[in-house]
Amino acid sequence: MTAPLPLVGIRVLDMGQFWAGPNAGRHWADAGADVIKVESCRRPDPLRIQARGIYPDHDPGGPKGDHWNRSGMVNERNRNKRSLAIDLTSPRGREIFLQLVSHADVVSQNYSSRVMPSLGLGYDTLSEVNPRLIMISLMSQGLTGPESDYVSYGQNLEQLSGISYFSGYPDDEESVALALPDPLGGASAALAVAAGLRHRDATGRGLHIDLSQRETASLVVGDALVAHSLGGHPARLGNHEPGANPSDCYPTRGEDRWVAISIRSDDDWARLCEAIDQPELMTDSRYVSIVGRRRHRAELDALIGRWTSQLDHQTAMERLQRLGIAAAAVLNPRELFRDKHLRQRGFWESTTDYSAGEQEYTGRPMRLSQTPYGGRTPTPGLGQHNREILGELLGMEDTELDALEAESVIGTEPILSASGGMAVAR
Amino acid sequence: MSSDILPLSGLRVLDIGRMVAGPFAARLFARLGADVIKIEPPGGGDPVRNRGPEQAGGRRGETGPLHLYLNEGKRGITLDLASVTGRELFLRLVALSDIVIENLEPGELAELDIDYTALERVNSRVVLSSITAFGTGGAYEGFTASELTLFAIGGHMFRSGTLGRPPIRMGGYPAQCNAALLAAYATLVAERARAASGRGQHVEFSIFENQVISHAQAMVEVSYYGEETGAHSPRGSQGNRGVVAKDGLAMVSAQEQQMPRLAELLGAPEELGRPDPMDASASKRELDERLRRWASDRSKRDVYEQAQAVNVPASYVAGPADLVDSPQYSNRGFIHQIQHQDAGTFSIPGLPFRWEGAEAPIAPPPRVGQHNAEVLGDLLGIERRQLPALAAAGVI
Repeated sequence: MTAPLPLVGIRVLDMGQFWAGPNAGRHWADAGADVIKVESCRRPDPLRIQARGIYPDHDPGGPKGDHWNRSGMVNERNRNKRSLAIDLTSPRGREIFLQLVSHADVVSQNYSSRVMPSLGLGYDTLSEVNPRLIMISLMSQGLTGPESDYVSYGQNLEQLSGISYFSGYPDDEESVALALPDPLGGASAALAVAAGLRHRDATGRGLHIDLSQRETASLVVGDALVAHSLGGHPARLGNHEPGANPSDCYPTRGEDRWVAISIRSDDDWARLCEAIDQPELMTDSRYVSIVGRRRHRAELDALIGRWTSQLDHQTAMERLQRLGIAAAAVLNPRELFRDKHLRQRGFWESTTDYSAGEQEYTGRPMRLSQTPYGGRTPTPGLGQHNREILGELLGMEDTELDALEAESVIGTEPILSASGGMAVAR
Repeated sequence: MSSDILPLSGLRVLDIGRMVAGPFAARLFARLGADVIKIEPPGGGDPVRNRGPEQAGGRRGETGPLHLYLNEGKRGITLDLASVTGRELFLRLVALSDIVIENLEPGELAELDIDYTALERVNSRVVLSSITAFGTGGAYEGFTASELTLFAIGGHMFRSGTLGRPPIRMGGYPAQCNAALLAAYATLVAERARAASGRGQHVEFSIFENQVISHAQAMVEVSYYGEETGAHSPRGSQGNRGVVAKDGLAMVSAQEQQMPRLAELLGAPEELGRPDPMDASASKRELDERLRRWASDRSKRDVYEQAQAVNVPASYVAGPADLVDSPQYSNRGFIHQIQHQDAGTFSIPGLPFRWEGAEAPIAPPPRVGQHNAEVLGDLLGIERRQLPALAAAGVI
């Protein structure tokens, strides 16, 4: 027996574009909210029209010629949503949007800070229309403060948050760049709105959530800020984990294949000695304590590496895990896609998209025992639900909808200026 | 309407987590106004307390930065969940609570006989939130994990670092922080579902799967094409070096439309910002060279601010000193100060989002068992004089 999905009855106008914004919308839509992806034909989600996007068969055109509906990155993070393409720069489009706001619980946007006010759609205006509205602005650096107008990409936020400072080889200034601030921002926004809904229901008042992606990313290294303020000198550790020794990536059979191993206790060490068939090391006084293992780290790394080099990374992981040791193969994307654990758990979800055909996408990392939410509808085409949404929520008749289409207030095809296809910083 | 209602006012959360992921999610709830009770084993408490470096001369187990960071704003009690009495007291607390958060080792909850079936029996409205490495079922069920191994298996480490050297993890706790944020969301969603169903449920979260959904495009490429293509796969191609300023690294990430403004900022000839498409790479090299020279006699913050002043995306590698003293963070009140009886005064990041009345006042993390008398007394009616016997029996 299953109950209705947890967010049924919550309507979100999701103006998110690129990654963090649509990702937050994906989390709400997965949980059952009616998430309407709001775009404009003049300014669709830029990922729809990327020059170097990902398209089925490498073919942006496809049978219907609508490349903007075939972008893999859009299709991955906009499932379970409906699509409305409306020109917010036209007075009529703006008026219709405000009418929709009165039927919405949440407006989510990650434009740069100037966009919504310049459209006449700042929080004050929206909240006048709907005092119970929750607006969330996912900003690079938040809505306030001296740097709030600054623009950035994920790699900039990694630097500004402190992540880069602590990420990389200790002997090299270069840092890893993985654009994690975007998924972190999406998760942070999902949480903020869930908390905001509870707050609104308790107080009866709407609210404007001011979210900083830079601050969210700083949570990753929050303990280092505490340590610094106590007079410590937190530094880059490479693959070393505090409290574990040894901990690193070790080479395995094959080219550029590795297994990560973390020895977190003396018991772990004893089991590792057994695993690598060197039981005599167990009683070797140089290695019995974590302090000793730190001092002799180079020798240990060589010993462990000799053992791992004979195995493939998956086998090394499984042998060590059978003994209770934290070990993991460094999997590449192709291996993840075939990974037996994810397949056995039914993680991947297959949908037949509007214009991209049948494809598999990542599923969701949470399982709810009573309200097991899952895939319902594929990512919609641009403007696919224009008529459905405006008819259902605003009671518009066909003649009115025809007129809006004729005036290009709503539509299903991008109208692009010369610069329309380029990436825009948030 | 009273202004002292916080978003999670009225929710009681039991945090039986250890180390990072579970306590991290519980701390987010504390920031948002829930009454979070951290339950630790008697004796040393959560092993996170021994994750150094502790303050010299400080009380043992009370001054480690990771503990101070993750357990702020909670009340703390000790309970031996493996003892009959400890388990019974825990279940009595569950009966009075809304949410239980755990990230224990696989199978540990069942061993203690406090899995969801047991909790449901004493409180059908409770939400149990399990933040696991790999979840239930599948080939890796029961596998253990650390931040390093979680980051390794999720596909992010594969592309990071230099070819010929080991792949390298991201610093801090990215996999567990990412998971804590989204698991906290899933938990609140389940809490919300109680209003309709009248029932709690078990939320099981997989950190591994959360890492897999956190790729920009690799998973889409591999699904659409069977392999990764383009510039995003090879290791070593994603370095974040940027430009060298006088006191550290900075980065100027101008895209084509920002090139004219960048050229002007650098005092370069106008045509370098509007390159002839036939000869774009030579212009770009020239502009990059000028950028390097320009940055080399400026501070990293000046590079950042001067580029941003002309609306060109830019950044600098901020270290902990830059962040604790950041004008942006100070202005927004993101960094709070805590006066702590054992550690002294320290700085700590708060919530990364805000609205009026969203955030609970910051409060010091508890000492081991600091609130035993208060929590067991107020909630379970256990009198203070009964506590020594519980302590002697090793229950608290």
